[in-house]
Amino acid sequence: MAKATKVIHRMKVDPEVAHEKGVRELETLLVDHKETLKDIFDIVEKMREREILNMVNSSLGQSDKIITRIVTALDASDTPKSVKNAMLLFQLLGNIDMEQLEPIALKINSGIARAAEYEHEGQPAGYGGLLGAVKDPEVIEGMNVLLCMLKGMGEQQDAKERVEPQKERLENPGKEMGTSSTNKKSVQPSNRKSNTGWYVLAAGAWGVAIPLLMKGRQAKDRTSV
Amino acid sequence: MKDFFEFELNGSKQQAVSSSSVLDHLKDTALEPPNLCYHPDLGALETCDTCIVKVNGEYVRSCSTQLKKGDVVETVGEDVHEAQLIAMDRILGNHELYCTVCDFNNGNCEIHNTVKELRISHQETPHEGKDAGVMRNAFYRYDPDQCILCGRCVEACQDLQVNETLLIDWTLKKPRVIWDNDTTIDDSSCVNCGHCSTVCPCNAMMEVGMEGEAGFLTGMARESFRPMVNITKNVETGYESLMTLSDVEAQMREERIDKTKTVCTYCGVGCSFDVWTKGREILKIEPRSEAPANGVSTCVKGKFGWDFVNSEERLKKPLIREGDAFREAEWEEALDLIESKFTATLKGKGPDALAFISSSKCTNEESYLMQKLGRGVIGTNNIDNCSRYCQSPATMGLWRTVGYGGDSGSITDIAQAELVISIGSNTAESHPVLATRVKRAQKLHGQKVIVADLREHELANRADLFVRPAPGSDLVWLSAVTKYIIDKGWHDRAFLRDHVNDVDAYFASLDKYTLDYASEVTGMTKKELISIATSIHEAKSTSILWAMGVTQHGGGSDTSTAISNLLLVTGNYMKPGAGSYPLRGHNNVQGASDFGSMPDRFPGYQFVSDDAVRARFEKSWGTEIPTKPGLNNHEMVDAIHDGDLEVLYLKGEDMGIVDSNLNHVHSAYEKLKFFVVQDIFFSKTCEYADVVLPASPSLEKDGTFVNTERRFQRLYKVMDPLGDSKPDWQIITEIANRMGADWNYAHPSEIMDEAASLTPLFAGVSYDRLEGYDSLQWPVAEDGTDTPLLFEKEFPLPGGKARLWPVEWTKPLEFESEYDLHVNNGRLLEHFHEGNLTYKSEGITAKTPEVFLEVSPDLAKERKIEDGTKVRLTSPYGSVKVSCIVTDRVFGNQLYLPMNSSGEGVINYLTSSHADKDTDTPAYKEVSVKMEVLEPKGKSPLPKINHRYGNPQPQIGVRVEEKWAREDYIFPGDLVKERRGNR
Repeated sequence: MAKATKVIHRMKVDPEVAHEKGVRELETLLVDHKETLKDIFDIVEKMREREILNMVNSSLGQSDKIITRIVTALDASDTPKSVKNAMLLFQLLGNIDMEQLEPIALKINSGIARAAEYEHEGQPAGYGGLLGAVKDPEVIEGMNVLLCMLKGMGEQQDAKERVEPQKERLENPGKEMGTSSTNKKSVQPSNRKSNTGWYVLAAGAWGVAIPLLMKGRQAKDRTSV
Repeated sequence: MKDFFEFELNGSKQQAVSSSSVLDHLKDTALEPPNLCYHPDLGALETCDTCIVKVNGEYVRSCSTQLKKGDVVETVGEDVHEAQLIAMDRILGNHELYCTVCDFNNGNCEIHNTVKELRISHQETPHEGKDAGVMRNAFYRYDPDQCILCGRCVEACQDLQVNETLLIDWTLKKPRVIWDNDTTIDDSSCVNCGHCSTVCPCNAMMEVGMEGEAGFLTGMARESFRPMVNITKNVETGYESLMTLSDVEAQMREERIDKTKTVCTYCGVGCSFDVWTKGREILKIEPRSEAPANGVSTCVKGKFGWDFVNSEERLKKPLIREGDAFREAEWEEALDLIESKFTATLKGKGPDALAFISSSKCTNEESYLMQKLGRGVIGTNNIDNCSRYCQSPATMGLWRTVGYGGDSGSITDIAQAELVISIGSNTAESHPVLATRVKRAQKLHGQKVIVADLREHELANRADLFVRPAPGSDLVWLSAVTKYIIDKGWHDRAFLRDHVNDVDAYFASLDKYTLDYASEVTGMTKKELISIATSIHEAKSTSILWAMGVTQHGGGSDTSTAISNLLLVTGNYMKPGAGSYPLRGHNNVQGASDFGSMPDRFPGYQFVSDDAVRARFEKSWGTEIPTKPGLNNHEMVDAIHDGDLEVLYLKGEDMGIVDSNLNHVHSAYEKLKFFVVQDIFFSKTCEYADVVLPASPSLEKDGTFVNTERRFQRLYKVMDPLGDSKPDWQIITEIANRMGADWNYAHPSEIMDEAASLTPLFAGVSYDRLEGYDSLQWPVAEDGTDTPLLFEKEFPLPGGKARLWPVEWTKPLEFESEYDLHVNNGRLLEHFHEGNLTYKSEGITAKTPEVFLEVSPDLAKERKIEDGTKVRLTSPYGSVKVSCIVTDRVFGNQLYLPMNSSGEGVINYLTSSHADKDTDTPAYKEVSVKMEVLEPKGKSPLPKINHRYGNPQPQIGVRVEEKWAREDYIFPGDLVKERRGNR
């Protein structure tokens, strides 16, 4: 004859029993990890001596505020740029082919050594001497090396660039398509895929540079939003 | 038969299947183009443009381009890549990549992965905000500044869930997703089904449970977030390093976020999904395309209704009654007490003085053990489950006519039916995900929908034809429609000849069901009846869905039989898209009966009276099993009143609220000598118990459920049981062993193996075959072959033929004239039944805090009732007090009282013990009351933030044409063509 009831008396946990149970569990844990704990205590003791524990304790206690301060300060400083540059340099190192660079480096070393040895003996430099030097096989060899380097620098490398925004043209398709855009003629030569008439490019350099600089500026302003 | 044809892909010949898009063909190959708006469950949306390829020299979106014979497809050219990059760059203009501090960075962010795949190192279209704030409610949030406008959420809302709340306003300067007419989420028609956050490819639409929780750095103070994002962006030298860093961080998350597959524990649709947890904390529910019943769909309960698992109110220790109070106890003491009381009763009164009630919330394995405990250990067949309260009549109707009591096919069959008839089923609220398939098929594929119901609920409102037969008169109109079809010669003669018995006797029994008679009894017009008959005749396939509006009547089994008769006569069995679909109410109401929690049947519906079957079980269990069928729930209550039943062990069922004529049930409880109740909460039924045992919900155990499609699905343990609670199968095992059984189950898979070995219907079911999202639909042969379409060659009845079963109409209960209002009752979308699980969700409770009574505008005017008026309803069996809502969902003198209450609004104080004559299922739907106004004015029981006050905006999909028509849009393919042409 059980009448409905909602009364429930919760079980009272004897604090002593609970405490004893807890202590027993801890004991087992300590014994099981005796060696590990010894090492940890050694480390922690040293950290305590050097105030590290206190610092960590305080930092954690104020972590939200500290993080906000740090990230706000970092955001406003040049630090991100430095980190970025550091990472870019690191990436650049990966692009350099040391095997090919070695002979060039040796040649440059040799050039620097000669330059250091060269003493101006108070005699006026004569065109004859210069022309005579052109006959010198070492000078010819040096000029050939320099010419090869210039040629190599002129090669198309856009696709390999990681620093260069790869879809620059997307921002303003007109730049590339040469459509109705008002500055299309002046922009077109800037397309580095075009490999003829470099001298025309040089002649029109100013015309190119002005709108390009302005474009770049605009893009930069916008991406910084 | 699939047709294959040849085409050219990047210069080489390839075979393709007809009717696939270019993207379909390339999916999961090394040549798959990037694709962000495409989702397999949503199809081509054409908003992102990233999947551009060249077909026959033209740039096209591969998601929406059908592959044809002889096509020349190019996917790898520099120009194609350029077009894809243009599209991707535009997307990045809408989405800021701060992956490492993003909660969505869990390895599945599609933007992140596409950026990586395309090896994009920089973004030139600058990210721009959309000048609109973050939208949020208790369940999810939308950050417009992260939204790439792919439109997946809109497509899911408009055409998959078909709630029609979300749109993208393409007319805005900066388009974004809006709710209804650009209002807040809570003020809109949003039902919080979660489709949008599930399909979002990034963090724009995200579950709030994830916010600040998923990542190691995402929980930082709000004011640190922006500087942190800026630093991340300034430091990075291209996205490659950012991607690497965030990938490492995502990998670290794998260590502490568990993703465990489970099956929903609410309705019978059987949605399965992954639960993301961090310890006991539930971060989100993640449905996946491979989920067989639901795909990516969920309703608010399945997606967001899991707070109950960690509720403080959970039972954590056994309770033992001492006088008029309970005290917490240890398991040993509780089990000692149960053992002594069970033993004493067995000795004193014999096994039939004990009874067992299993649960449709528990697993199949637990139902199996409960009936094994009753039959094999105690020695009684007094075992039943809650399908007695709902679905037994439907099962009876199908046993009579087609032999198996289960859905004829799968949810996909319902979706592909040409005609769906829904009778007495509030499908959109009671089986929300299943309803989405009907709504979608109707909206997109021309499916015709006929609804017969008292209320104009959502599906009725959407129906092509909505009819309102008088309460309890469905058998009459169904029979009249059947007769009309036969009279017209529209019946399927060949089908009847080859597959059906007793045709002539049945045809003769229909004589009285003329259109005139039906019209008089049901109140339907002859035109409506003819229209239904004609629709069935014209449709190539008809599926009939029904639920409690049919079964919970005095003639519930007969009406279910009439439905099946109509389907047989019209040949709507044995083919895809057709058949009978009694929509099962609970997650495992099908499985509870399948696994033998019935007084007359073993697992697999084998009769206990069958000597051969009984001998098989006796041999396996090593015990003797009684021959005589036991008592069902309804009979148990009477037996307690008669003094024959003294001990009841009930699990996972708040029978003290859900049974009809509650006052009668409660007084029976008071007469029990010993009452054991096993639950996860202290339910109304617990109040009458002598011992309450703390059980574990689905997330804390392994097991299987069977959904409405007869589909077995596995649930995996997500977390350990809370406190001292235990999974039901362990508790039953301990009780059985106290009673002398020697059970040694170490895992539910062993229980399933035993059940399968004794049950031909699911002989081939095993945990190995149900790994992950794998599923099986019974019957399952020993070799693992399952049966999605229940009847393929024959019916499991004598001669392999179905039979037509003549039925007579049972008039509904008649009440004295003072009881002048009819009370309909049923479910709500957002609460499950009495709400003991869903009220634990603050978000759900804020939107729907209490029960309410729906009153028609006519009645409201007549009785001076408005929103918030408090009334008392009185039937001959009891009374309830409840506040009103005036709505045109109900008509005339018909009221609707949802069952989401365990207080003074509980419907079952009004219902009677009157029941279906064949199954004893209570006739819950036959209630009439008188109404008196207690307080004319009061607070509305339904806050304005409830979705029912919203203002849906139906449209097809995301309307990408409006995007394409914008002046600032140029198709990337055109752009590339122009550039290259000018070069």
